[in-house]
Amino acid sequence: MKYYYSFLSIAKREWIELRRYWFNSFIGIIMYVLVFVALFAGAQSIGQNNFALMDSLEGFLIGYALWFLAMGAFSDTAYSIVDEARKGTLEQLYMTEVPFTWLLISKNIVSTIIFVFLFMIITIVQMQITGIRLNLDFFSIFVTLFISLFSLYGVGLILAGVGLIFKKIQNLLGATQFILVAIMILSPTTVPIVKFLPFVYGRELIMNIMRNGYSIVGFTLLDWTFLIGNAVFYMAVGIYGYKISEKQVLKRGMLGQY
Amino acid sequence: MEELLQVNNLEKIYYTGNNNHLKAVDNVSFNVNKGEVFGLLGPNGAGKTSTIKCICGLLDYEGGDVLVKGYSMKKKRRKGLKHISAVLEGNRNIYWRMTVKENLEFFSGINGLSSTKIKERMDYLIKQFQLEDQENVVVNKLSRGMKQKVAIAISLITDKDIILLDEPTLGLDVSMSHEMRQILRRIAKEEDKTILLSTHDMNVVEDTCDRLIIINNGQVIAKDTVENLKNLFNKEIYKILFKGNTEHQLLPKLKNVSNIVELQRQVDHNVVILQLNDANELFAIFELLKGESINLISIEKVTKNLEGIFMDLLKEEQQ
Repeated sequence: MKYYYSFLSIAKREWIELRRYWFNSFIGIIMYVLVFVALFAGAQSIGQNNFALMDSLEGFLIGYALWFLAMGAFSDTAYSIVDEARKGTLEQLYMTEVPFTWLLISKNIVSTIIFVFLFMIITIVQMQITGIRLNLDFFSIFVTLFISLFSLYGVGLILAGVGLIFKKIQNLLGATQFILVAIMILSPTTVPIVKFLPFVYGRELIMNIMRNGYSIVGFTLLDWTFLIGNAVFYMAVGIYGYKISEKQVLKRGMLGQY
Repeated sequence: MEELLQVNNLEKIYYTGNNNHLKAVDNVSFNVNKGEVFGLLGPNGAGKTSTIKCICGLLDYEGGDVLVKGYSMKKKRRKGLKHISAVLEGNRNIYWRMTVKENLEFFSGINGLSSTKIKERMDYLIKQFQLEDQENVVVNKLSRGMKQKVAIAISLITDKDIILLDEPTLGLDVSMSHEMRQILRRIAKEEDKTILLSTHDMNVVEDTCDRLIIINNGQVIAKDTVENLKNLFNKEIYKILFKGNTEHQLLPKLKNVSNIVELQRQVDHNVVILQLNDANELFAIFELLKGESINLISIEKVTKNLEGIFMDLLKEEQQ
């Protein structure tokens, strides 16, 4: 029950922050949609309703929404840990009876639920703006995103560990945007090796769900293996990497030192 | 008496690069009994915060051990944490964008307690800390003193045995500092909590602590009850104020019968501070003063507070 109550507490805190500071999130979404409209209009005027381009614009729509989502997930863990350390609350989180890793995972689960809802909303808005029709199989998208986002949280954990030691990692977080663009472009169909990268396989499955009507019911054993294996592997690597940094931080007393 | 907290030969070393290191905590040992308020007194940089952080498992230590209810904070950290809560670095460890109530609920929740289970205790603490009017106010809008009250209330919500407070009155004004001292006394008495507090404010120790250690440069320089320390250092010290220019003849004579601690030459008078072994030696002093052509202004006994004792100990350390 301890784990359950601590999860509920984290969920409630996230909800309070989201509700109290909704304006900031709202402006972020508006900016995102405006940039999308500009990019989409540009692409359309170049392509002049060319069928092949419209087909790739579908990919652009999903890819852009996923990139937005992945950006949030990628930096969420790193940013929140560094922010807690800056505020001085990280030390309190380390002094609880439940392990800090559980509190982190709880936060990731809550963030994922919020991110998936955001993804669905912005995708619907984009579909309305562009007139492009996509398969919005909510359940399949939710499950696939829920699992695959954990690979990005894992990478975020490594960045968080680096952040605790070096304090300022804004530039590193900024650079990850470009890494994510690469992840959004690379396809495991054309370059099979990239399916081992974080999130790539999950992204490909979501593309298939939304464009080709694929469903989790039709996922092969290989799909599930890659989806879950990728998430578990990167999350484990992330936790391990974070633990290495944590050891240094506890030795040097830098947990609340800002 | 049950020893809830044992600190045995604790050592904390910070490596500062180029093979240099700083021993922030050097062979520090003390025990804290159940229901006791224990003070960790020392100037800035003495090693107080490092000691506190080692105790609550936020800092790895190189030597010795910390036992919380028998659990080593090195080997059984999580079990030890079941008995410890802490307020570190003033009131930074609360969520400033959440209300008082939301903070209390959050910190009990992440410790595995349900909101229904702590409701009664939360109401009790809000009343005890006189936070009824602020319970739904975002912490950011509260004064520094109020924030500190909230931080201490948070440390009590989980009802753990030991409360660690790092500089609980730092930055508070005189009246709030006084109120905070009263609160700490009340917690120890009514809640039967064991409190370990670090401070450089002697008034806090004098008002709230049963026992204390004084540390400087990471080392313990005194360890006793507040009363014993005061008695030990409050020997027969007298301050004599007089007018006249004969101190050159008087002083050697005074030195023969007492220990002159200090001589101050003011514009219109002189001050001599003497330390006697026995109050009866005052008779000899009076005889001496009578024989000199001086104008005696006053003789008074000097009582040292903890601050004076603290300063003496630091001076002694430096010598």
